Amino acid sequence: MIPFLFVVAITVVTIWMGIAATRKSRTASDFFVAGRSVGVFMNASAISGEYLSAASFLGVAGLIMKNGYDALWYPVGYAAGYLFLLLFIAGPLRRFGAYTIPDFAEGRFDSASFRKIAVTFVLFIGFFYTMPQMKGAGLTMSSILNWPYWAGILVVGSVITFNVALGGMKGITLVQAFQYWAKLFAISVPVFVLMAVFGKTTPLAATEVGGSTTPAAQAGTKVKVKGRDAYPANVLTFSSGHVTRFQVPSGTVIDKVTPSRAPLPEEDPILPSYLLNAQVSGAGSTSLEDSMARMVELSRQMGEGASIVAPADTVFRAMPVLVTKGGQPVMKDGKPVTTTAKVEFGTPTEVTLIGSSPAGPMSLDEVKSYSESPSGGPVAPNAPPDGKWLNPFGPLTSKHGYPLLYTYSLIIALVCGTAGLPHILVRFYTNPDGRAAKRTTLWVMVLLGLFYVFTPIWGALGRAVMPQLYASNATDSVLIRLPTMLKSEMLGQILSGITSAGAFAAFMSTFSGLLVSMSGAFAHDIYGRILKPSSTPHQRLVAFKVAAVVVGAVSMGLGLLVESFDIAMMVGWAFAIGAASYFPLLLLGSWWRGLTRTGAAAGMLLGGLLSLSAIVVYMLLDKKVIASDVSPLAKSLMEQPAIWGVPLALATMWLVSLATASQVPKDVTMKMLRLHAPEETGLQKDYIAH
Amino acid sequence: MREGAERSFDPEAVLQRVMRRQAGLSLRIAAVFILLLVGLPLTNLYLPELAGIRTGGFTLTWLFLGVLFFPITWLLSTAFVNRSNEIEAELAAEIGRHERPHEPPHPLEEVLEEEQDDLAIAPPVSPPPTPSPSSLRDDEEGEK
Repeated sequence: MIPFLFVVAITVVTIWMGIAATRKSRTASDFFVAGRSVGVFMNASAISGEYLSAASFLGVAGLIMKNGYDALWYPVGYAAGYLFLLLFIAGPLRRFGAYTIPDFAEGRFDSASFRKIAVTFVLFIGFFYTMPQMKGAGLTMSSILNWPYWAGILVVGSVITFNVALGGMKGITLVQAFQYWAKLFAISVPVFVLMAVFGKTTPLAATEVGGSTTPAAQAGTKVKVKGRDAYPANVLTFSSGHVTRFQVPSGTVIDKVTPSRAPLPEEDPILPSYLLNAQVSGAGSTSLEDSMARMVELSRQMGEGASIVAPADTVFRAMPVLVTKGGQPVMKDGKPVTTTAKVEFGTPTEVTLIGSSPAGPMSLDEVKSYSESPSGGPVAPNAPPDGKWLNPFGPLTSKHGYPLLYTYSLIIALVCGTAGLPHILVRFYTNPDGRAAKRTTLWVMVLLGLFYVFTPIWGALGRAVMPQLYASNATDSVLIRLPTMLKSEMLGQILSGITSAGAFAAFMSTFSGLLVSMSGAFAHDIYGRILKPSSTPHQRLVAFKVAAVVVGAVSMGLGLLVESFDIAMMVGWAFAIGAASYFPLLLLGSWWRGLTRTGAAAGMLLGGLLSLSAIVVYMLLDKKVIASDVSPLAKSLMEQPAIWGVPLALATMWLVSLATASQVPKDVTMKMLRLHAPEETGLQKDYIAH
Repeated sequence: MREGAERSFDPEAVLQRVMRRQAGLSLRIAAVFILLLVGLPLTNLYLPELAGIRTGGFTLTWLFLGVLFFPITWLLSTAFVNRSNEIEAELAAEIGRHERPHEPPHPLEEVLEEEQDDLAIAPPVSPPPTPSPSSLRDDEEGEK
C-alpha cells in the first residue's frame, strides 16, 4: 500500500506540473518545441529525464542481474551513444533549425516525398520503444499492487496520454527535468540503505572468477512460474552442481523435461526420468524404484508428446547427470561434462524450492541409488554460476555461440542508435544555437553517467540477496522487490515506494516524449503537410491531440503483447532500427554533400526495414510462434542486426547517391553552410522560418 | 548586409574550411572512443588474466566498463566541446574578414587543406595545394 501512495504522488505531481505549464503553452511553436528557449542545464535535465526510460530504470539492473558483465554494455552504450551524437550530429542538426527529422529530411533534400519515408520511421522506432515502457508499467503495478499486467498498462497509459494531449511539449520540458532528478534520487538513495543493511558494500567481492557457485535462496522459497503460453518464462533450469528438491501443487502440468545442454549426435540419450525423478512424500510407502518406474512410464508418455500431471505430495529431484558417449564420460577441458534438468511447465504454478545438496555429476546408476537429504538452501534455478556471471562472454553474448560478434553488434546498435531516437533528437531543437546544443549534450552525458553507475550495484545485490527472481524470470523487477527483503517491513515498503515512483517517473517521461514525437509526426507531417496542407495552426493542434489519443491507445495494445521479453532487450531493438535508419541519414546528411534524396531514402528503407524484419522474425522464433532450423550464426545476426544493418544503410546511401548524383540540390553549398557555419557569420537561418 | 556578404566571398571555400576543421576534430576524438569500444572486448577475449585482476572487489574489466567508462566519455566530450567552440570562434572571426571584399587569402587556408586527410566521410574535393610546412600550425594558434 505504501508503494502505491508513492506512485500516486509522483503521478499527481506530474499531471499538476503538466497542467500548470499548459497555461503558458499557447502558440504552435510552443506546443511542438517549447518555443526554443530552454536553458542548457534545464534542457540537459529534460533530455536525461526523457531518455531514462523503464529500460534504464528497471531493465538495465535486471539485465545485469540476469547476465552479469555482458549486460554492462547496455548502460555504457546508452550513455556513450551521446558522444557520437555530440561529435557528428548535435551541433549541425540544431543549426539547420528544423522541428523534426522529417523537417530535416525535406529541408536538406528539397523533397516532400522523402519526408513521408522519414515520418514512417518516427512511427516504427517510436512504437518499438513504447513496448518496453508499457511492460515496465504493467510489471511495476503487478509487483506492488498485484494488479494484472494489463491493468497497469491501461491506467498508466491513459494518464500519460491525457497529460500529453493537454500540455504538449512545453508542459513536458519542466516535467522531464523534474523527473530526471526524481529518478536519480530513486535509484541512488535506496541502494545505499540496502548496502548498509545487507552488509555487502562490494557485492561483487563474494563472486569468484571462474567459480561455479550459484546463489542459493532461503529454504521453502516459493517461485511463481508461468505456463506454456509464456515460453520461455515457463522454464526452470536447475544447477548442474547440485541435487535440488522442489514441490509443485498437485495437478501442475509438466510439458517437458530435457537435458539443459542439447545433446550432440552420438552421445547417449538421457531419459527425462534420470534428470527429474519423483518421490511421493509423507507416507514413505512408495520405494524409489516404484517412483522411478512411474517416472519412466511418465517419460515414455512425454516421449510421445504427452504432458505429465504432478500427483499430490510429490517431491521432485532435479539431478546433475554425467554426459556419456558409448558409456564413457564426455570430457571438456579435463572435466566431465554435466547436464541437468530443464523443466518446462504447461500450466502456471507455484514451485516451492525445498533445498539443495552439492553433488557431482552422476552416472545413471548413481542417480538410481541417490538418497541424500538436502543440506543447504535451494540453489536458484535459471541463475548463471558466478564464473559465467562475472566474466565477459557469459550467457547473454554466448547464447548463439558467437560472443564477440554479438558484443560488437550490440555496441554498434547502442552507440549509433542513440543518435537515431526521434524523441531525443527533437529536443536538440529547443537549444538556442549549435553551441548550446553541444554543451547540452555534454551535460546529458554527465547526468546519465551519474545515474547508470548505480545500475550494476542493484544487479549484484539482487543476485546475492534475491536469487529466486531468476527462477520466476522476474529479474526486471529487482529494483522494486529487493527492498522487500529487508527485515524492517516499514523501511522495505518505503524504499520500494521510492523505487516504484522512480519507475513510474521513468516510463511516464519516456512515453510522454515518444507520444509527443509520434503525435507531432501525425499532426505536423502527415496531417499538416500531406493530408491537408491548408490547415490552420488551430486545426493542427486539434489533430495533435487526436493523434496523441490514438497513438496512446495503439501503444497500450502493443504493450500487452510483450510481457515475456526483457525490457532492456526490447529497447536495444529500437536502437538497432534507429541505428540502421536515422543515424546514417543524419551522419551523411550532415557531412556529405553528395547524398541525394534517392540515396538517403534507399539506405534508410533497406537498412531500417531489413533490421526491423530480422528482429521481428527473431522474436517469433524465440517465442516459438514459427519453428525453423536457423543456424546459430543467423540467429545471432537477426537478434542483433546492427553489425550488418548500419554498414548496409551507409553503403546503400553512398552507392545510390553516386548513381543519382544529378539530384544533389543546386544550393547544397548553402545548405551545408547552414549546418556547419557558426551563428555569428549570419549564414545560418532556421529552415522553418522560410 | 547579409546578402551582400554572401556574394562577396566564395561559399565553397568557406564551407570546405568550416567542415574540415570540425570534422578533423570530431574524427580524432571518435578514433579514441572507437579504440576503447573495439579494444575492450578483444582484451577480454585474449588477455583474460589481465581483465580478471581483482581490484577492490571488482575485476579490472568490470571496474573499467561499469564505472570508469563514464568519466572517460566525459573527458572526451569536454575536450571536444571546448576545442569545437574555439574553432567556431576562430572561424567566425576569419569568415567575417572574408566578407570584406579584396581581402588577401589567409595563410591558414593552406593549413586547413592539410587537414583534409582526416576527413574520411567528406566528399572528394579539388586537390590540395602544395603542402605547407607543419610549423604553420603554430601560426594558426597564434592568430587567435
